[in-house]
Amino acid sequence: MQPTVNITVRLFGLRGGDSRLTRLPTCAPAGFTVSALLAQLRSQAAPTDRLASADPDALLVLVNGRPVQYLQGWETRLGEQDEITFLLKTAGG
Amino acid sequence: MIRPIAPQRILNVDLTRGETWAEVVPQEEIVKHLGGRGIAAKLLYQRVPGGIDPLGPENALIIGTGALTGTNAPSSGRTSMLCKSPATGLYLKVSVGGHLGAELRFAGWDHVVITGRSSEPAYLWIRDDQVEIRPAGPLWGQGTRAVDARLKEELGDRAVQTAIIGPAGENRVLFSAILCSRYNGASRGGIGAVMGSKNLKAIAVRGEGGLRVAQGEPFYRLADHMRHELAKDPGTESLYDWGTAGSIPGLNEMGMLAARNFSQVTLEGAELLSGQHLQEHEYLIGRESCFSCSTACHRFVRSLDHRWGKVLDSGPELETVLALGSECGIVDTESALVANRLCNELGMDTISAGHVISWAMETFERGLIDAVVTDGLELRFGSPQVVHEALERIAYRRGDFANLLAQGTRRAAAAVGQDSHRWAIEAKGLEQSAVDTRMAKAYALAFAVNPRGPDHLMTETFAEFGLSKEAREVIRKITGDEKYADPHLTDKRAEIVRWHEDVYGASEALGFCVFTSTAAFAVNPENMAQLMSYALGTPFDEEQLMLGGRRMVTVERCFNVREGARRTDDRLPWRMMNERVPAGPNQGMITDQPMLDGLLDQYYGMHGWDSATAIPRAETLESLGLLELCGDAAA
Amino acid sequence: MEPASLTLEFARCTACMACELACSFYKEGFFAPAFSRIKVVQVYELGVNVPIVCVNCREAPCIPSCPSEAIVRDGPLGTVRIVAELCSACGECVEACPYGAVHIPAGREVALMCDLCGGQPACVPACLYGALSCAGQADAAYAPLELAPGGLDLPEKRWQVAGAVAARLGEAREVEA
Repeated sequence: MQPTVNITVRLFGLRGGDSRLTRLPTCAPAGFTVSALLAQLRSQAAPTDRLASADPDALLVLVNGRPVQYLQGWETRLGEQDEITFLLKTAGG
Repeated sequence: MIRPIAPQRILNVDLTRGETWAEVVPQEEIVKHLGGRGIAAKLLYQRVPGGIDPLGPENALIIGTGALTGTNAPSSGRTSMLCKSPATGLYLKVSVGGHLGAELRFAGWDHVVITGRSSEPAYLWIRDDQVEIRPAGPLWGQGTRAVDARLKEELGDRAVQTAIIGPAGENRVLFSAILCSRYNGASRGGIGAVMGSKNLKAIAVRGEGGLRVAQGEPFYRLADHMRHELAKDPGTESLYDWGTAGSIPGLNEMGMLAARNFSQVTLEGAELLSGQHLQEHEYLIGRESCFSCSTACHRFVRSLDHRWGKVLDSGPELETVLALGSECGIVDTESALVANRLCNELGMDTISAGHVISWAMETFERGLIDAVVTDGLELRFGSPQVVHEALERIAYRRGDFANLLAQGTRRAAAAVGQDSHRWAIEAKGLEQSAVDTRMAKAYALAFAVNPRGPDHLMTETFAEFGLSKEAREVIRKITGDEKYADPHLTDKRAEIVRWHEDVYGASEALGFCVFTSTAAFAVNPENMAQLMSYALGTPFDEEQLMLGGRRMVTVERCFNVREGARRTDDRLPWRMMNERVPAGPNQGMITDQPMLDGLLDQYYGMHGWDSATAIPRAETLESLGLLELCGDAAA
Repeated sequence: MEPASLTLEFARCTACMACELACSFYKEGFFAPAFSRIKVVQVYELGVNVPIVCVNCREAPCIPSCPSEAIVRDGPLGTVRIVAELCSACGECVEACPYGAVHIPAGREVALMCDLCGGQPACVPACLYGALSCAGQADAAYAPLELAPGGLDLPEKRWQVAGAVAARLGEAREVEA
């Protein structure tokens, strides 16, 4: 059996218009990339979820609170106990 | 009067003599200093010599509208207001949105310079080229909304645009604000107190004229194209959807949310302060724009259960819910709405008010002050009622403790002593915005060298986070390599700050909201310069635009040099320089003195300023054509 | 034929004034809200913004009010418009319009009202919030609305119309002033 890692996916503002935080403890194959994880989540998402329709460029993706831009981008590989957060990008302040 | 975009016209007002007169800014000056903040900085330098009392008649209150304000250039309605700050004793520029600047432009005025002091409370009424100084006795003492309504009634026109101080400005609270177009705050550095010290309660404007650009068709088309490009940026969309407080969930997740007087970087329940929460739970009932802006980041909200009071008002912005919410340990939506409304009514800066109170809360929780000292205020984190009560007392200076807080965190900490300056989140006498300058190094440098004090509203280097393609492209353009789009790096920060200084300056000179050029990037130096070229009908390029930005930054530095500011003043709050980030992904980070010194050395070197003192060299001033203006400040 | 008019989605208007800038620029060649045929009134107290513009009333009171017969209804959209050469700027139409949609700017010797720019109104694409569209039903924009009493000056009339629209919108959202 393929080795898996326990991860938690945190979604903010991407589930049916509800901006509460959704926490999904789950498993993923070891070495799964962020890109593959997103594809899997989208395939499981309801059509009304913004997760299904959001342009990937509009997503802010964090692994353990760090933007993936500071890691390996979409090819960042997930490890045990990682928390991956998806939010919609914001600007200004 | 339908007038061309150049020359620009100055309205001079001497409140002591009760006189007004017009002056012209010729095209050569516009090409050199651009307009808005650029021309206003030059005027401030010329008219306010070093060493004057900021609350005395010699201070000038200068309003600078953008060179393109009043046209269809997207989001070009921003206006700068300048003076010497009573909080810092240094240069102050505040930026304000709304519709006041555009109305001034249509009235035929690009800049207003107000000096002196009226012997009686007065307001300034500008109706096209008719200018009157009118008595404001019955208005003195009233809140900003009541004054707005009364002025519109007295003047017989509800379309009048206003700029009004509240009781806080009258009482010279050192973080009092000027509320423009009803709820747009020209807020920081005590600018409201300067207006109050002149006995000027309000400015009312009505303009029925127009502006003609030299090459109308290409101007309109390019501006329209820029407007559409801006609308496509996800950042712009997010501002429409959730306003500036839409950043709260992301900040909290990234361990960058200032909480409890910056002693924490995350806060449980912070999403209750977010723009998303306002929208989904129907606090949000409208979105408002500044003049000519298609982003509409401003909110219009209502309270729902009214538990802390009734609210039907604009706001709150991100920095407001941080300063008066998370920094005070409060995650209560209704409380944030009421605190914002109070600051609007009383006329106070939310960032400073929040941080003065959060400093007082930490001081109280540490046992250095008690309820006797605080005149009964139980200043504990997480107390909405105490925040609201404190805001009222500060505005009216009710009691010795509120009177102390009204002077800002630096003076309050100096008075209390016992090392309480260590948790005063201020530098130069201005409270810092709620950005963690321990982990974002270009922000750290920009905040340290900001002539008005450590905040994001002179130069915001958002691109250093590299969170979008466009941001990374900007970093690549500035530094040669996208890899520098990482806020934790210290390399190339001086280059990043300098580019942003110039672009920020150019944006504010032309009237552009800096969200369009430094948070989104659809407005850029190239298309800004092209618009100026079409507007003036003469060639005008990117290099001239950036030089205009560079000049104003240099003039601002020279103003501060003349006031005695040196390298040692370019610092961050004590906590940012001495206490590491306590938790989260940035745990352990800090911007300490050696690191800051390295950044400052790079920055001063690139500017051509003396490294030990931070004073611009004469040859640097010469190269910018500023020797005649600022030579008295040169090293 | 049903005359068309601009359709106004008041809830989407943010008072950016892009419509006023587009109108004055298209019609006059310069930027001047005072010369715009569409005027946005900000009802600050309720956070509602109300564009005031000619809606091609089916029974347009401005037409019979004109002593020079300078106001006509013609064109493919049945637009009410002012024939500039015949207008003497007497101001009767300004008085007659129940919505404050006609005005005479200072220094101009002719009354101004929206004529839908001959079919492609310049303001519609300028509004990126979708508050304006074309080919709606005449009168629909401000109806149902009690016509403002006569004798009000233009700013006061516009304020009353805007206030009524804002109050109606506020009621729908259960917002109390």
